[in-house]
Amino acid sequence: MEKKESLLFQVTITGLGGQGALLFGQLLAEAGATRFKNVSFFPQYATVMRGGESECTVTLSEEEIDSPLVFEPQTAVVMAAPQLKQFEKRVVSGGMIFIDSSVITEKIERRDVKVFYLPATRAATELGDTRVANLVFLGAYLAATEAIPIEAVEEILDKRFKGRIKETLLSLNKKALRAGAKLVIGKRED
Amino acid sequence: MAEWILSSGNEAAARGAIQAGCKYFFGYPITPQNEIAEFLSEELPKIGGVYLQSDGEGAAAYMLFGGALTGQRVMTATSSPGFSLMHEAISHMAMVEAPAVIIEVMRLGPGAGTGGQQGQTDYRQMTKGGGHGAYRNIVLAPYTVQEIFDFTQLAFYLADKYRILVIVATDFILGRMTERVNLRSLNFPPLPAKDWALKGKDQKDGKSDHHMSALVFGGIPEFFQHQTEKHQRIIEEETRVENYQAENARLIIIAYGSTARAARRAVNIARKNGLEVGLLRPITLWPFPKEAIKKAASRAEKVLVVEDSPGELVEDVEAAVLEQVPVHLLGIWARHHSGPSGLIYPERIFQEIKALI
Amino acid sequence: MDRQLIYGKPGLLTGPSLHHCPGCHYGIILGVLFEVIEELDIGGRAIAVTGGGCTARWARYLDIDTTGGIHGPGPAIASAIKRIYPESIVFVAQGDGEQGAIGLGYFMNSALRAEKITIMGFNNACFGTTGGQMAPTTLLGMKTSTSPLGRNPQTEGFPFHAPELIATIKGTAYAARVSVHTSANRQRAKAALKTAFQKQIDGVGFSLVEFIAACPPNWHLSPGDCLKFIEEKMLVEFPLGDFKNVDTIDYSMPVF
Repeated sequence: MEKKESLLFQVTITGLGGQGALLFGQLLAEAGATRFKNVSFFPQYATVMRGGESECTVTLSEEEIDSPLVFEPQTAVVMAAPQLKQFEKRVVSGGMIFIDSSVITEKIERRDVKVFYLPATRAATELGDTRVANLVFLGAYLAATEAIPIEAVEEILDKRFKGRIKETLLSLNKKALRAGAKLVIGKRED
Repeated sequence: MAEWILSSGNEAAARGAIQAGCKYFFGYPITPQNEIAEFLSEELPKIGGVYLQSDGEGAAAYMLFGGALTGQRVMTATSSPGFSLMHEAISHMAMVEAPAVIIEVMRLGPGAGTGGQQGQTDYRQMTKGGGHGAYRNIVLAPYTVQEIFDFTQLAFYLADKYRILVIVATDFILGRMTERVNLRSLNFPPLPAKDWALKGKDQKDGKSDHHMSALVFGGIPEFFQHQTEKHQRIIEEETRVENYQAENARLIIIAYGSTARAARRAVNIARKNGLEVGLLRPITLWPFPKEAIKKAASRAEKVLVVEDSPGELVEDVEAAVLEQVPVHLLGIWARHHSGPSGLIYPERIFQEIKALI
Repeated sequence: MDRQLIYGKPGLLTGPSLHHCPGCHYGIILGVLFEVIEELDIGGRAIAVTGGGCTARWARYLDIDTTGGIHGPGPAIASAIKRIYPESIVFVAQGDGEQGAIGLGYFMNSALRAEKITIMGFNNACFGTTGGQMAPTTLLGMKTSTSPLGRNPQTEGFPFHAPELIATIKGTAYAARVSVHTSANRQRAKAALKTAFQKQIDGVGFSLVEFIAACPPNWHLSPGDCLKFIEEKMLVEFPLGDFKNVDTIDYSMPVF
């Protein structure tokens, strides 16, 4: 598992339009920029507003980031079934894959990657809104990698959304982050 | 005081324009440049400027033409199909030497293409003219968000220095990617006064200016002589290229823009694997760094051009290398899948390096 | 006997002569324009945008700031100039082909954006410069070099009426059609152009004056017969007069 002293964190988040893969990436990038010298965020999504596959890659690094796009990321967060097979192949050996086990039943065959089967959608639904599954994943990612503290993301949430959305929605997002972290801590081996 | 922010490439282009003192933007929606127009439609009115939404890219380019002739700094932004629509006006701007800046956020393919996804298929159109009449535009090709911010400022300086249109060539990847940007104001040498600008005679001690076809109203050889001399001066003074570990490389990669980022990573991977590979990155696509490439090729064994295109940059590279060494192309076929969101990844470039070296 | 100058070259005319064909009305219209600019005293802040075709060289006849472009982009160019220098007086001189065909989009959209600019449109029922081909304003049945059997509405549609169309747009302050084929009409044309510029000076809205103009070589008529043709044919299809003339436009914006 990656440790805090690692100079590089790199994650690709993939889902369907509307699942919030991009927001995951934006929050991580913005929060990461307060802790890391270099940050890149590269989103890929269909031209139209809804429905297509949606994906982004975030890199946090103390060193220069040569390329914002990487074919073989350290970590993949897979929020929808269609992208699983592709990312099972792409993640580097020794990397991590996060899978939404509430919507994806398939299992990863590779043995050289650490896999987190997390019921993110179910956890989000229990919190009151399916749409915060992305924040559940972000919390889980941060707990598993310790790339940056969860508080750094909470600060960004406050900065972006305080006064613009309902206080209950803001606190729901924060709860989702914490819930995600808990899901992982229960599964950590160390 | 320099200030750091996280910015997308598109937003950086818009911010760079404001930093350069551009207060007038003529927009028309097209993916993937919309963030530029959206940002400026909000910001320009705050600084006493104007965001004017045109009735199409053809109109936007003519607004750019009119705006440039007022002597103010003006800009438009577009993506490939819209860029095609602009070319009558672009050609006309070359005729009257109207200085302005266009941000071209390329998208793939002829026609509607992918409807707005990644591609580098406008190289010829940007560098060879695109419109009629044997003219030139300066084309700057940034490859980081910081460079997009900086080069947009540089573009305005060069436009005014030479009375020429400057195109800042980005693409889907560069427009969308977000990085840290130092919002620094670049300092440039003083520029000549725009004593030719249209602003009404009262503003110019009664002098009137006329910006029409120099060919109808002036000498034809003189016009082209003047243009050619100007282009020669630009070639001599403004050609820019980045050399990344290409000094003693056996294999030299040549790539620009987003693809050069992927190539840079491929070079890093190759060097870690003990392979002597370097990157020569044209920063100005026109003027093309022909001499630098010719010289580098004479010391290398092979040249590999990487571009997200069926092969346009490679033509200029071949013309520069002059058959000293073999020139290979890793083109659009190197994408990771055949769908519209396919990309050329660094890992794929590294594979090609291994195959060639 | 003391000699007195009663008529001279307009002060804003740069050169000694014009390139227009004998019997062409563009020279008369240019004279009207000079008088209006001088009487309104706007020469120092006027910027002219000419077109392709026979207005192209006007950019060199006028001792005011000028530019222009072929294929009808004048209204787009003028829009940008006016937005950047709102105190300037910006006008476009364009032909009917530019206005009704290739540049219809620029023209209509500048009116739709309620640009505070003035358009002078020239209707001579054909493409003059290129050799008398069919234009949007060509009369039904009229023979041109690209409608050798006469313009047929079934296949070529009906003549284009710019002022009538522009009058329907809310941002239009003034839309008129005039002619200069008689002395009285010339006076009316001058008054109309003056009104159009005044609308711009007052910031009311978009203004258009369409001028009917003879094109003797392409109409294959003598200059004298052209006047008759205007009276008997052109004015039947293209009635003269003001189609819209308002001093205020409601620019209030609902809040959403």
